[in-house]
Amino acid sequence: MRADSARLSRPTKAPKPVGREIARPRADLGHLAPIALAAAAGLLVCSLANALARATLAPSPLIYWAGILIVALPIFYRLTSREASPRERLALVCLLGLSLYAVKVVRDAPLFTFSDELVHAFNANQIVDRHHLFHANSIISITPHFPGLEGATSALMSITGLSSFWAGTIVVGAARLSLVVAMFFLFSRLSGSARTAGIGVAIYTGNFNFLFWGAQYSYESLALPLLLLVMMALAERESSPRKWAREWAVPVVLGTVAIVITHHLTSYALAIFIAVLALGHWLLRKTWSWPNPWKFAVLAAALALAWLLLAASSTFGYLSSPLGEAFEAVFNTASGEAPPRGLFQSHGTAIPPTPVGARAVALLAVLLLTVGLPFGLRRIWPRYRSQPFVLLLALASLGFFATLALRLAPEAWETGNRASEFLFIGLAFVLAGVGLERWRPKGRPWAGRALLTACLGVVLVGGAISGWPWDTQLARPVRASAEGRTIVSPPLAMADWAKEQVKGGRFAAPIADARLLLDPGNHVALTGSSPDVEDVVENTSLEGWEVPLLRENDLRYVVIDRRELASDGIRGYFFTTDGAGFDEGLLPASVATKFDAVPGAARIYSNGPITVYDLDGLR
Amino acid sequence: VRGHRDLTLVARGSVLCALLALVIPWPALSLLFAAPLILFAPGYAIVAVTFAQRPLGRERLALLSLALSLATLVIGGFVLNYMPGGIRAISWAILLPLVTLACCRAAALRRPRAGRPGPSRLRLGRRDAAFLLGGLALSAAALVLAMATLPAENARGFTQLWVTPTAGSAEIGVASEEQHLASYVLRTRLGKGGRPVLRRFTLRPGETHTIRLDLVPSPRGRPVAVSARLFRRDRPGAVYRRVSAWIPAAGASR
Repeated sequence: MRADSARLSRPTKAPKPVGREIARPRADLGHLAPIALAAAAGLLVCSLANALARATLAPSPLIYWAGILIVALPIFYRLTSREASPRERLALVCLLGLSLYAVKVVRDAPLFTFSDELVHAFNANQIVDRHHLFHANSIISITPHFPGLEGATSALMSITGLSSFWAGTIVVGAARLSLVVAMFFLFSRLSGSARTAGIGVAIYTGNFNFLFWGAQYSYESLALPLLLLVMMALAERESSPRKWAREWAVPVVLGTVAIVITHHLTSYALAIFIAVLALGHWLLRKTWSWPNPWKFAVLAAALALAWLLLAASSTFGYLSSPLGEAFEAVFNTASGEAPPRGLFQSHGTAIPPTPVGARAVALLAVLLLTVGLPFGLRRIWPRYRSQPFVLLLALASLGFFATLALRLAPEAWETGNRASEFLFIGLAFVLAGVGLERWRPKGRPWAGRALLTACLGVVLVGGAISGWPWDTQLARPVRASAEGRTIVSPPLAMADWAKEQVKGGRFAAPIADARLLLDPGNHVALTGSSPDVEDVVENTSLEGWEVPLLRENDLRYVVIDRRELASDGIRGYFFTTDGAGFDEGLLPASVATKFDAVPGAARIYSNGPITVYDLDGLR
Repeated sequence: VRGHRDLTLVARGSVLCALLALVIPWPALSLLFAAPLILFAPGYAIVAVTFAQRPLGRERLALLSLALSLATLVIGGFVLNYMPGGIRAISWAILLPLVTLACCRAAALRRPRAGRPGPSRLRLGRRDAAFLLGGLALSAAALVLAMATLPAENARGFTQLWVTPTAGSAEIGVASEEQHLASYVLRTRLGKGGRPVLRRFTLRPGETHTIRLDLVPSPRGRPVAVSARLFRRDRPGAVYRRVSAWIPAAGASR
């Protein structure tokens, strides 16, 4: 029997004891060891590229991408082989998931620099300091109402004394490992082939958000792996004998409860997924009895609804606004009332454009996914048309392409981007069944595998380019050494100062400064347009409503950051660098000096671009 | 749980890990014991009781142990939130072993007496071991390099100036985040008609210089203005930084 057709899916029977000895099976890891060495070498290359970027030496991005490919290509090539055992494939999948996660970790350690990470790190610190959940967050107010990630992180933080960075990195790393392994078992169970399962996971790494956004310290990074766990458990339940199927209910229920506590969108996606699955069962098999999972659908929907109503009612407002804007934007774009959004565009003109070559790779990746889809669907239909689970994944694969269209509407691209992470699961499964690896032309039996490996490489790199701005793929300096000591960037210096010197009081600040004031500053900071802090900190003259607005919201301190990038939640945390290749502009000085005229306002801090005023200086 | 080696090991191990992780004051060392307690033991025990009647397979067992441990942490945080004392190290160190012990006991009751296969024996040749060790070394090097603070010559340095008024005094602070040694002149003034006081000093990158200005009590108990202007010695004509505030009279509260 060929190794690739060996099923991991069937539970192995326990070997009979021989005398008092219990047989110990041997694990064959095949080529894992040299491939792990290559992956580590690739990781080191990525780390080196990031180190050079932090040293402001402007390294070629090719070094970084070479590192990514050194990590991934050997794993991809081995996953396409017929010879690897199911256990080796599983080990390779683990290696792939952890190595690519490590690429993100070595970009930032030991500080969070993604905007949502700072918000969640603040929540985790609040739980550890105050010993309870649900403390307010001034920037993303919905996050404390879904405290699963921070609650889990607090266990590591409080028991070991680790910082939120390291505890969060470990929790998300464990979740990442769960994600790839659960996906491997899910695909393995559905397809009956460990080879297809391994290739499916490899394809999933080409999901736009896999490398960075989905690896950040944020609630969805834990919820999505739990979703995969529930999906896997449902698939296992379906294929188990009925008397054992009940056992799989435990991971389904525990996973569902954990998802509901952790992330709004994922809990709704889970409820919808199981409901549609139950409906599919009914349509195909005309029965609501086992294995129809309708009871789990009801449970997921009831729990999500109960949480929404009892613990997180503000989710309505949080989600309805962007979804409403997305629908409107789609309508406006489709009707020609608004121009379509240009691809690879960033906010502001100061941000350098994505190079043509990188755009070409990203578009080629989408083209490969598109071309592969009909082949995958053609293989799936005759074999799996009676399996609701597989048909649902096939539907999801089609839905993924609908989300691509959302990227053309200005206000809808984020909705499309978020949805794609879920829908890509279906696409990965469908494409894994295309069978390119089985193409063995005469004289070149390796051609099919090599071609598939190359395609997987393009999909991985193209997905990463599509999912994260080109100019921030590599790290930027937030700390640097100078004459043997450490200096830090202006916004981080301000946040450190606030932590040390300011006791109590709430801050109004631009987006990047506000997030650093949360963590590591450990202060309450408001930003954005509700209330309209962004105009207060960017207007060049003082309007009559500004000071009253600040006082109404009990905002005693105002942070004025003249760097235009301060309003950028991705790029605003770092040193300004000479020769960065683009102009890091400054707002006029009057943006700050307008507060000199406010009676009782004290200018208590200045570091050049950043000034802090205390509006109650006379108190 | 006697008679079930795995359950005995997990149950005893969870208690031991909880104790050691709590007692050890060094986070990295504490993590060695906390990681199995937090990321493995509860999930393993839940799987053991759930799948007590039949073996699950090692790979699935490993996945479910990890993933259900994460789910336990999520749900456990919510449960502890409503317990006396709330979410603390000690409450986690009680809850997690408690879940593990209870599930191990239940698993032992449900599970048939026959033994379970031990963990897989890795068939690892010298060559493979060398590869894996090399991989670990390279990964460690990547992490060390990532955490290293490197010179960034093109990063623009800057200097911080702040004033922190307290009752009866004010602290003026200057912190250099410049790339090189910098010399400054600090001019402070207390009260609107006060005489300016000049101080000259030099700071290396990352160094801080603070001074304390004590206020002679104002006869009327009114706040007194304080201002500070910082000049670079190489550019004495241009104000480099400036701050200002009011010092509340001694006895007044802020």
